[in-house]
Amino acid sequence: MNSILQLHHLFRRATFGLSLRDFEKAESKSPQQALDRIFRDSESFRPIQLIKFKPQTVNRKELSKEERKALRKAERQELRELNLHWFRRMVESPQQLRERMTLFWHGHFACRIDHPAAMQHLNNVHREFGMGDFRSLLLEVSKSPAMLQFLNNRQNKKRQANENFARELMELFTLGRGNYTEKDIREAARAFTGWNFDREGNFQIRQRQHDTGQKEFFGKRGNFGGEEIIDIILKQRRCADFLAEKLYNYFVSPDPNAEQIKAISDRLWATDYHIGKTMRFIFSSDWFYGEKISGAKIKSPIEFLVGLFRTYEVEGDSKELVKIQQALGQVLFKPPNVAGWPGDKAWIDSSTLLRRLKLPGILLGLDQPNMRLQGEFEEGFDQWQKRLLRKLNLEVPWKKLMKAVPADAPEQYLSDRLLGHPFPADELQALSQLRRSEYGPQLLKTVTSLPEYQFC
Amino acid sequence: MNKLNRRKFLRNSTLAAAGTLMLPSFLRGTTRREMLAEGEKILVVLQLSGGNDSLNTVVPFGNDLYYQNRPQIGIQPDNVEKLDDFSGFHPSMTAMADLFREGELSIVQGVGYPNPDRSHFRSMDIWHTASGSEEYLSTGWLGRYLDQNTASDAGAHQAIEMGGGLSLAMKGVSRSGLAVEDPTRLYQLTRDPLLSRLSAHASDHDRVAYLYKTLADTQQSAAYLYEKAETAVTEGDYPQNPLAKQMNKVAGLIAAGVPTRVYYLNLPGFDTHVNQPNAQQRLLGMLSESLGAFARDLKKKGVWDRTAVMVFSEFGRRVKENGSRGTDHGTAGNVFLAGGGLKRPGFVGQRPDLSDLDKGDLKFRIDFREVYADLLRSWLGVREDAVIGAGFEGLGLV
Repeated sequence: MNSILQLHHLFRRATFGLSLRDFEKAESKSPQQALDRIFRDSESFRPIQLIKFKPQTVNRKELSKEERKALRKAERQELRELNLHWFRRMVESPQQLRERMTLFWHGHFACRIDHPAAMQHLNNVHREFGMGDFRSLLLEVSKSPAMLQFLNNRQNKKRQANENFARELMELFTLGRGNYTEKDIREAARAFTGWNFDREGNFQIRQRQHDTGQKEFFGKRGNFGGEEIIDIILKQRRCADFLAEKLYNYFVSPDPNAEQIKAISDRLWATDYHIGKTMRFIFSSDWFYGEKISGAKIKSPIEFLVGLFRTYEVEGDSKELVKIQQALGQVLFKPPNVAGWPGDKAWIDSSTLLRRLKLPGILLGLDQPNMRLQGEFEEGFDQWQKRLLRKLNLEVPWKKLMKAVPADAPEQYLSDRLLGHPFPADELQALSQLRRSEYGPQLLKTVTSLPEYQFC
Repeated sequence: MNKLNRRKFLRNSTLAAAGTLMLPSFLRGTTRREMLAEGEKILVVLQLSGGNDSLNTVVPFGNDLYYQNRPQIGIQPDNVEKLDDFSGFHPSMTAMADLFREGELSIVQGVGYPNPDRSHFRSMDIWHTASGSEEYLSTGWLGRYLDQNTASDAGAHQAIEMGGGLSLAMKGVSRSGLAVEDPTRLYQLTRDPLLSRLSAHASDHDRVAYLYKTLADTQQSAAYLYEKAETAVTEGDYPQNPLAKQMNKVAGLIAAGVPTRVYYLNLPGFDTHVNQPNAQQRLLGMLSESLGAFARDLKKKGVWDRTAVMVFSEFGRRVKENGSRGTDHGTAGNVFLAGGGLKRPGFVGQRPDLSDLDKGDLKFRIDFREVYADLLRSWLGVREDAVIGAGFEGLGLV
C-alpha cells in the first residue's frame, strides 16, 4: 500500500475520518507522524457533563403512576440528548482516538439501563480509563452504578448470591465462554457480594451483605473481594488472548489471523494490559497495512454516520439522528443486550442496506423523495424521507469542499481516499451526463452512496 | 456456532428426508424459483409484542383461584366465550372461537422455557434465536432455516417480514428475510437510478460481494413482489385495522403462488401494566377478527390447508393483578396455531395450575422450541435439529 493509502486507512481506523479539506495537509505527513499526532491529540481526558445527577430521594415504588410515567418520559428524553451529545462529540472532538476507544468499550462493556446519569458516568469511565491499563478500566466499570444495576449485583448478597455479574465478567468481559468453571463463577459472585452504590451514586461496599468467607478461585484460596478476583483473572494468560481477539476483530479485521492476534496478546501481556501502548503497536505493525486489512470491515452505523458527517463537515443537529441510528440498527446507549452488537454482516440486511445507500443523498439534501406511483400515501420509506428532509437542518459547505478536490480526475482522487477501490466506470458515465453546477455535489454524493463506502 | 457446521451435509439429507418436490438447484431449469411447489407449506408467524396476558386470553373460568387473584380484571363466566366447561376465550375473540370449534385452532398451554427472563428484550431475543436463557445468539431461528435450506439464488423473498425492519428471528448468517412495508413502496425505493445501476455490479472482495448480492437480491425480490402484488387479489372481507391489512396482503401473495415459505408479522401493545381490560379488548379483538378474516380468505382461495399461523408472545403475565388494573411481566403463556392442516386441534398441554406457582408466576410445561421443532420438521420439512439444536421431539402439532 502506498503511503497515501496507508494514511487514509489509518485515519479510517484510528479516528472517525478526516474532513475532505484536511486531506492535503494530512498527506504531507508520514503515517508514523500521523500516528504520533493521533495519540498526542488524545492524551488528555474531558468528561461529558450533560446530565446532572439527581439523587433518588424517593423509592420509585412510592411514586404514583403518573409520576413514574413522567419520570420515565423525562429519562428517555435525557438519554436521547445524551446520545446526540456524544454523537456530536465524535464528529467534532480532536480527541478522535479516545472517542474511538470509548465507542469500542461501549460495545465491549455493553450496558443498558434507563438511568441517564448512570449511563453518562459509565461512558466517562470508558473515556477516562479506556486508553490506560485495562485493570483500572475493568475495576472502575465493575464499580459503576450502571453495571452493578444492569447485571443485578445489587441483589448479590451474602447467602443469597446473584451470579449474573460474575458470569458476564468472565464470559463477556475477560475470558470468554468455557475458560472458567461454574464453581469459579459461584466463588467470584461471593467475592462481589455487597458491591453496591449509595443514593448519590457513589460506589460502596455494603459490609453486612459482603461474604468474607474463604473462596477458591482458579486454584487460589483466600478471603477474596472483587478486586482480588479481577487480579486473578488478569493473571490468566487467556485474558490477554481474549482481549487481543476482540481488539483484532474490531480494529483490524473480522477474519481472524492467529499470528497477528498472538502478537497483540503478547504486547498486552508484556505491557501489563496497557491499552494505549497496545493500540500503538497495532497501528504501527506492518501487517496492519496489508491489502487484506484495508476495506475488510463493514462500518458500524455509528462509524458510517460520524464518518460521513466529518468528511463532509456536516453542520447542524437533528433529533432525527436517533431515529436514523434506529433505522440502521445501532443506537448509542442502547445495545441489544450485554453481549453488545454482533457487528460485521449482521449490520446488513435488505432494509438497512437500502437505507445506508440512500442516506448520504438524503442527509446531503440532494435526494428528492421518490415520485409516488398511483396509490395511497402510507407510512413508508419515502414518507420517512420527506419528513426527514423537513426536520433535518443540516448544512454542507459544498463550494469549500469542492475546492479541496483537484479539477483533474476528481473521481480517482476521491475513490482512492474514501473507498480504496477504483471508481465504477458506469458511474463515471452517469456523472458525465450532469450539468456542471450539479456535478460537484452529485460526485460527492455518489462516492458515499456506493457499497464500497460501507467499508473501512 | 457449532450447529451450523453441519450445513453442507444437511442440505443433501434435507432433500432426501423431506419427501417434498423441492427440486435441487442443479435440476432446475431457471435459477429463480417462481412458484410454490406441490405440497409446500407456508408458515405465518404472528408476534404479539409486549407480553400478552395468557390468563385473560384463555380464561380458566372454572377455577376459583383465577377470580381470587383478579378481583378487578378477572373476566366473569357470563362474558367468557366458552370453549369447554373450564376455559374459554376473552369475549372479543369470537372469530377464533369459531376456528377452535371447526378444528382449525390448537391452543398450546403452558409454553415457556427454563430460567425465564422477564425483560422484553431478552425474552424476545430468546424466542427469536431459540437460545437457552443463558445464551446469546446473533442469528434467528428462521434466519438459520434460510441459511440451511434455501439456495443462494432462490431470492430474498423466501421469507418476508411485513414491516419496516427485519426482526432478529429472520436474520441468518448468509441469508436473511426481506422486510417489506409495502411491495409498491419497496419497489419505488429500489427504482433509484443509482441503485439500479449498482445492482449489476460484482466484486472480488468477499464482503463487498455480499453487499452487492444483498442489493441485487433486494432489487429482484422487490420487482418480483411488486409484480405479484399488482395481480394479487385482495378483495377479501377484512376488518379495518393495520394487522388485517397486512394479513390481506399476505393472503394475496400466498394465492398468487409466490414461493415465500415464511411470513412474519408483528402486533405491538401487549405490555398491559395499566388498564389491561381496555387494551386487551382492542388488541385481542384485532387479533381474532384479522385471523378469522385471513382464514376465510385463504379457504376461499383454496390455500388454507397449506398455511399455518403461529401466534406467540415473549412471555405471559403474573397471576395476581397489580394495583393499576393490569398485570406485570410473567413467564409461561399460550401459543396458538391456526390452519387447515393441523394434527392436534383443540387444547394441547395441561391447563395452567394456579395453585402451583413459582413466586407468583405460572410454571412452564412446554418448551417453545418443541413448537418450533414441529413447524420446522413437519411443516417446512427440514431438519429441525440443525436450526434449533437437538433434543426437541415436538408435539405432533402438524
